[in-house]
Amino acid sequence: MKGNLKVISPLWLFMFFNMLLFSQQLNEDFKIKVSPVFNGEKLQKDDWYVSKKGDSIQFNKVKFYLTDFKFDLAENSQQKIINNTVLVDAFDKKTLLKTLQRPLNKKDSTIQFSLGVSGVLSESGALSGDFDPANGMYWAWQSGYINIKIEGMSPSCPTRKNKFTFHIGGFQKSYPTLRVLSFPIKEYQNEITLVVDLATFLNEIDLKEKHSVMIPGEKASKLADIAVNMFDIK
Amino acid sequence: MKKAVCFIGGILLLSFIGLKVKKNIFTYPEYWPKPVYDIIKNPVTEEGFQLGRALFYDPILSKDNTISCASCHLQASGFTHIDHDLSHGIEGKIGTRNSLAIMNSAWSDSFMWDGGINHLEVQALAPLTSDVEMAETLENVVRKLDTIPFYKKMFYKAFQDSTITGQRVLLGFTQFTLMLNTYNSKYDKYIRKEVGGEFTAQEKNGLKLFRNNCASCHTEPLFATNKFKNNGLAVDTTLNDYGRMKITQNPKDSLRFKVPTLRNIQFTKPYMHDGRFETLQEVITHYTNGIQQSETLSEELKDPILFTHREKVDLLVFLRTLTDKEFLFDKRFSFPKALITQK
Repeated sequence: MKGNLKVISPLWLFMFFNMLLFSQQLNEDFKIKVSPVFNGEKLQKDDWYVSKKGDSIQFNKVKFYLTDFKFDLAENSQQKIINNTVLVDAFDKKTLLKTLQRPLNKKDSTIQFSLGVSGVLSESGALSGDFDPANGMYWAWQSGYINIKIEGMSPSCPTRKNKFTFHIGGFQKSYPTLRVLSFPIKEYQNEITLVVDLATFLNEIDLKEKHSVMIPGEKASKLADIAVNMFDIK
Repeated sequence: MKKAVCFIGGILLLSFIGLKVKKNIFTYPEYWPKPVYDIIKNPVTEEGFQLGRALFYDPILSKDNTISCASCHLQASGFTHIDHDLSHGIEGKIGTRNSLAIMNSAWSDSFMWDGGINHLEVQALAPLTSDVEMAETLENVVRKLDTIPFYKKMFYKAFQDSTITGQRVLLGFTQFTLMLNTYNSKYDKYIRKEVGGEFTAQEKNGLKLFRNNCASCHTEPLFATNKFKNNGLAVDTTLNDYGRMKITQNPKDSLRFKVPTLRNIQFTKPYMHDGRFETLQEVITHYTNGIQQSETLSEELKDPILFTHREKVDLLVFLRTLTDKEFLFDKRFSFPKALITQK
């Protein structure tokens, strides 16, 4: 038994270090840079912007979830990215750059991810990190994540303090709000800049009529269709 | 020499594991159904339970530090708000529904009268953030707790890490709630054929009547089902509460509300989602004489329930056997003195 141990121990050590080395080689950094803009202009909290409809607009909260990043490879297989959730706060710099771990295999052609949180996670109780309900992106009275929050003010809104509030979420089959995005990726690319243009969203909304959606349902689902068009890569 | 090193190492490793793995204290009668809640995911430890207990009784959870969970969920009344048809929150604000009793929560797959909450772990968020209840945010609760050494210690004991997060606050709550189980009423002792569980002829008849007329919704042993039913109540036009439909937006769910447990029903008054009935006599009379017909009325209530006066009394006598005084007065669930002596 003693003799066996002498043989096995160096072997195990060798295998262990090989695994460590190999695992490091298997993954590489993949950076997601998020760039919130309004009609191409950098988005700043409480600055004034004007939409195509002529509405003057200020933003004070823009937050959204990007989840489930993966690559669609040319040979019809998928490559999942590790650590693949991003909770973006447009006015919090540290959330605008996220380094994900991507397996070392660059035969991809498309990067795919979801805008929002899956129904499975919305039914999984109290989660941690980006999914911690303390982030303020979880509905208390009807369980589930708020996929997108866009809040601000505009003189066009006939509301108290001219506020508009769009909380887009809900995972019921009839009114889903999770949307999947995909973009082509050049070979050997290891970062993307994701441009989020709030003008695309506000240009489609008549703030005199529509200024607050804060529950799941048909309206939220329609807003999700508009919101997904805000995203493009550079 | 090597043997000795291995032996000591092994002992140290085992001690370390022993320190880390804490005993799960959640138990229930072996003849009960399996809980809906996955206890393996969040095993209840004594430390986690005590953390949840402190949070439950601490008014720091409300925006102005005036009310705690216990304000609307009193132990002696089955962890509900006695004598208030609608619950009230900070600054005397009045809610829109009667607070539900908290007991045997591990067997529920949704919470609140409309089932809007889909998991026990996130249930506490609703009263915590409601404008007419505690009007606070989880983020701010974390911030407040983080300044108190008492809680830093409690979180360390419960999670082996003093970092306070929203998730850990909710898991602490869950551990306390998971322990609020009631299964030692006279009825339970009757079922288990234990001393103190001898039923009178009247109680036996009441049980028989119950099983024939009420048990399809209030099913033993929990005396509840995870269903939503329209039990024939007329709409209170001051509230216009259509229940489950608010969540599903499906007209078929109009006027459907969660079927609550009947355990400790003697002490959980008032009754129904809007607390409209003060007494159990009124409740029984509703089922025999007060059913309002509507499209979504529960199938079980479409045919009238007929009870004689004596049968009503027998049923009432049986319902009182569901009182579990060991639960209602269990000191482990009461206000923790540590909140005063150590905080």
